[in-house]
Amino acid sequence: MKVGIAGAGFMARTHASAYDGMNVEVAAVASPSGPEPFLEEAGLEADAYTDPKELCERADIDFLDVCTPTDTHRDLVEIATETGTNVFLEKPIAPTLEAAREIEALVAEAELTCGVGHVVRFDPAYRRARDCEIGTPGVARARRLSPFPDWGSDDWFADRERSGGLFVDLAIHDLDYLRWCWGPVDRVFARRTRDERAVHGTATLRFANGAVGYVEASWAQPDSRPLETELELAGDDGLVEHESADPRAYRAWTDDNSTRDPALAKTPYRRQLEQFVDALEAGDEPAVEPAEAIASLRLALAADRSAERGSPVSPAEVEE
Amino acid sequence: MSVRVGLLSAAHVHADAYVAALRELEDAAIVGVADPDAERGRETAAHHDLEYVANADDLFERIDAGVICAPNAAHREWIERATDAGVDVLCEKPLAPTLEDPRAIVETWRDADVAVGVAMPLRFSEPARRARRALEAGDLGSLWAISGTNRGHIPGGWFVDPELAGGGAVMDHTVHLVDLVASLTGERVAEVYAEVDTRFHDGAVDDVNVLSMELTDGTGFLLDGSWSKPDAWHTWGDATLEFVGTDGTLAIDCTGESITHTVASGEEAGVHTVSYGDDPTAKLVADFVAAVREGRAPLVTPDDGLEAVTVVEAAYESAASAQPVTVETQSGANDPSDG
Repeated sequence: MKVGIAGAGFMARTHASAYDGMNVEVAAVASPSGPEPFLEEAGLEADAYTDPKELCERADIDFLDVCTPTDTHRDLVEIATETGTNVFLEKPIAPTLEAAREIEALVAEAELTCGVGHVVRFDPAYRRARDCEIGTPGVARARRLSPFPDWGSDDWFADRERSGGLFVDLAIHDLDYLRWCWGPVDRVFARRTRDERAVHGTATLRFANGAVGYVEASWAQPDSRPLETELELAGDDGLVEHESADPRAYRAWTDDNSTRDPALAKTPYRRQLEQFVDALEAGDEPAVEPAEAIASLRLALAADRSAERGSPVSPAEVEE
Repeated sequence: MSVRVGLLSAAHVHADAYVAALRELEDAAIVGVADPDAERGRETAAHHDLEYVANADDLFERIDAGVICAPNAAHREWIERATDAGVDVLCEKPLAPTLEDPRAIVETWRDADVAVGVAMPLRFSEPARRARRALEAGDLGSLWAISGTNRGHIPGGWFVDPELAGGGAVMDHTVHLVDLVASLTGERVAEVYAEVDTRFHDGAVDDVNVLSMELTDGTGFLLDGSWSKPDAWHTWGDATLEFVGTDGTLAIDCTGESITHTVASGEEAGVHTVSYGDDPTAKLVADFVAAVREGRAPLVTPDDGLEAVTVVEAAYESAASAQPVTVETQSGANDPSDG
């Protein structure tokens, strides 16, 4: 199996390191500024392109892995579908419903496989939590707090037109996960505080099954507090709790440094990409197809609209 | 001379903790227990080796102060009787259900020459006190968002009787953190949106209590005060707050200082949490007794209690309408930052 990666940033590095060890060869990488420094750093012997279209036309790949800013997804999917290339998209599928629908239509028309990287579904803790018996769902709590993501090229995370902003880029992890666990959501009420870069927001959810949930997402944490997540699923016959902070599986200290890490043999990214590659090989469906990703995007956009309007919003009402 | 204290109803589960806290104080003496439910009153009195006083008026004549552990709906009557008798009281929270009762209590209290305190032990929590110092020092810069939890087991008895409690989890588990946040920030809740339901048990009152609030300065305040913890959970519940500001984040866990105790056999078999932190209830009771002795107001007074209940009633209104509800301040309320 051969993959071409579009993008040479943080997420491209994360995916490349997941492919290392899988039976997947990174055959080509495209980045507008030239991916050579990335290839060297990652120790990859892949063909370098500046134009993803050229990559799709010339490289011998089984799928294109799109690790570029969210606003570029639609055009990259068009390029992939024009060249008959299957595609894996980092989440979120797109910053707008319109672009997401175009993506869905493009891959459907071309009869290609498209998966979207809602990686939390492949976090083993979250997967196990979903499987735990808790009776009738009651209240779900999901938090995801981090400093502002300053690794984006041209600071694209700060450009809401490009990233979609906090709910569409960050909270969507938990919105998608909770929707996967407890089904569709009828209404969302959200609040948000932000300046030019930092932003912190919350959204309450009322699921169609009657359960209540809430997500809290932050790109406003101090640099000394790296990404922390928290999950709680409470039902009438049980409770599941998970916190990512202070992992205890692997810890090491020296005079200058300390390490606290999970010890999972396979990262959630690796598990996610393995599922996609297996699906491609077997002709099965990827875990998250565009329609699923769109449903989660709609939920994130509902939170965004609610925070703007100050009133609850139904995801079904979101049309743009 | 000791402050003579009576237990005014033993309905509340905290009654035992108040008796224990009072017994720790050198300047307080417990005189007896009054309770319209004679069986309950006698049982509590016997349990603590106290006298059960069948007629509350008799007890009023023998005490300087009382601790009201009655169901919420009976708070007003107890406070009115105590003030008529010139007895200072510490009343369990919430002050009273509905807006009518707490407003009447505030009026009674203002007109009477007695001290009335409301039991908000988290004001005395050491983690909260340290947070107050950090917030007052401006460590967080401008405040953006607050996230709190006050989950718990589903209580039994009158707590799940809508007539006696005035509501469920929203009534029981909102006021602690709403009061604490108002006190710590100097702001009050200006708007509340509530997702409320009954999903954890079959009772007549709500147990899902998820509130999305906004303070008067625009700070968001998310609070989960659901009765969502199974009885088998390792402790009664929690009380946490996290403040996100432009210059930093601060998180407190008011019950965070605890050890884990596994009981191997018997009725208590299982995993339990044992607190080793400072006991806020002891400090609450000490403040009340000192207030009685010194003729001053306790730290938390009925106007604070009324403000918190106003948020509760607005939450129920929001849940009924599925829309955010503006919370009107109650006239004459003290600046919450006074505490």
